[in-house]
Amino acid sequence: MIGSLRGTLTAAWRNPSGRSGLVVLGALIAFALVGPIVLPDPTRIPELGQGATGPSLSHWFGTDHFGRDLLARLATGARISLAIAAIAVALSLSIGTAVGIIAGSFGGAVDRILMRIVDAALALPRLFILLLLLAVWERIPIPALVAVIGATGWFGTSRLVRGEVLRLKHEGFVQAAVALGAGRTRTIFRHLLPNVAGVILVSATLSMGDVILLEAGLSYLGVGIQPPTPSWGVMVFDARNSFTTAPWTLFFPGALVVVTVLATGLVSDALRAAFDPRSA
Amino acid sequence: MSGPLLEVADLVKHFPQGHGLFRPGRTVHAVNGVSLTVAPKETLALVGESGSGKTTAGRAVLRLVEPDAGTVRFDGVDVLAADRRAMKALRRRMQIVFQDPYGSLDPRMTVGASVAEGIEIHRLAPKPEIRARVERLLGEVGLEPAAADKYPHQFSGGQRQRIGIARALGVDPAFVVLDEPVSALDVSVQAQVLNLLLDLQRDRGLSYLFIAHDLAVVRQVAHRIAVMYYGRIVEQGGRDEVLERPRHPYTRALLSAVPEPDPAAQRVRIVLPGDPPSPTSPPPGCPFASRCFHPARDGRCAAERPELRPVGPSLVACHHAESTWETPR
Repeated sequence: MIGSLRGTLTAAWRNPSGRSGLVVLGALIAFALVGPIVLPDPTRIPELGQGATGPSLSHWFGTDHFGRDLLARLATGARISLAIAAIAVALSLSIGTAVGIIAGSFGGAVDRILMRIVDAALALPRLFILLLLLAVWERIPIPALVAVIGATGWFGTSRLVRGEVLRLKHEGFVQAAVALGAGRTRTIFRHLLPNVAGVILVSATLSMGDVILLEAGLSYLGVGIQPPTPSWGVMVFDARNSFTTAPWTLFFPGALVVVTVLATGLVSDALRAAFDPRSA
Repeated sequence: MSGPLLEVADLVKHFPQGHGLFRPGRTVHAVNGVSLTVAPKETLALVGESGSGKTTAGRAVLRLVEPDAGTVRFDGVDVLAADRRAMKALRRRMQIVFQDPYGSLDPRMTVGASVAEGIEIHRLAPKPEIRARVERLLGEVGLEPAAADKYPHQFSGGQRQRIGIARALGVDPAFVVLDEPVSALDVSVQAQVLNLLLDLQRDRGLSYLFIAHDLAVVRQVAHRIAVMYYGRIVEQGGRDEVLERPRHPYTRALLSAVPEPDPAAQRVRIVLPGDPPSPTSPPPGCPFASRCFHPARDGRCAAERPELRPVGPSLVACHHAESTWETPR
């Protein structure tokens, strides 16, 4: 069984790469929490705007083409991008895991219906589904955006989880539980879920980067985060015209996306190892 | 001994295979009308080659796979008609030990948690006493109490098999399906586990359905033997009768494959030509006819399926079971 959350985190901390990932994620979260409080208003455009300026003492990370402080925009963007990614990924993993486990453990018609739905959803590009869903809003509230991103991201996860469940169902230990009289609920929570946790974590890592970039793409198409509110994605796309003359406008938000995805990967790798008693 | 503890009649299990959207599927006839009984405190060995349906038969008896037809009665209760509650009660009394000592224990649960599972499910002990019961069970199968806190990967194959046995015994069953419990183990470890199973049978009065392909193992544990081929029982009888006077040609072939410890001993190895018929298209006649080497085999074998019938003290499904013959050299 999955040990206490604290025990798992402790185990991940003991792993050197897990520790560096946790440190980086912690720093990013601190930046997102504290930055917007101490830094200037990220949306204010200076009246005497002189366009993009490079890093300097007054603007450590430079300014964008409107003359807005990049560091302040990155901090507020961190709040938005990290929150959207974390919540949307948590949502899609929960739905995907639930659907995958139900399809795999019930089998039969339930499985066929759920998997045909997933097949159909996977056959359409996600961006297209999102555009359809988002077309109803003039200006989408962020919670709705998160819900929509989360609700369209679980198809692959459900496939993955179902496959694992189908494999596990024929393992002796699941059969033994059934033979001992374990009901479906017990089998799912005691045996199936802990044993698919590794697959779910890998899936989480992959989706984190996806979702940050997806939000960026949506914002670019004008259906995601609306300017002047910054998100890392919005900032990357804002930089599309200025990056040849002001490369820092592209570099900093892009680097933060990459660093976030990498750190998530390191942490989830360490968590996966921590979940597995064989590596203890 | 009064009546049998387990009575299986005409058990059938077919697996649909390759059903496409526009294509009718085929059916694998895994178990095709198996009947057997197991008396209290008795071991019935179910032997046969890979794919003979013996494992499916064992699981169908416990409803780990749902049989398509037939009846299973356990201690007078109709197992296949049991509703959820009745089935849960039955599961306390009918248990299983699996072949694969690696896949049969949850890698993410401590050994103690695995062994406690049945006790928890059936609420056989108040929470504070579970630990003591688990340690007692571990002791009974020859493991230290400290084993409860370890994970399966810290144990050898033989020890894992002992853990699997302890888990099955946790609910205090009367009958255990032993699905090739020693096939994955080294020969020296095999003997230890077999002895453990024999001790447990004696001490707890257990009945076993012992599924195996190794007749040397079966010789040590079985009271009676049922030989399966192609989803059917082809010969059934007392251990010595089947081993010393095999009446079905398939049983003879199987016996000839048992390794002979004495290198000087004369022995004839029967190598069967070909494979069993395809499990998706059973032949009309004797399923063994295509590989049979019986000197009296004839056209009837290919046309008419032999029923299991009494021949001497055994039951044999062969048209020519009465004719005595020497194994060809």
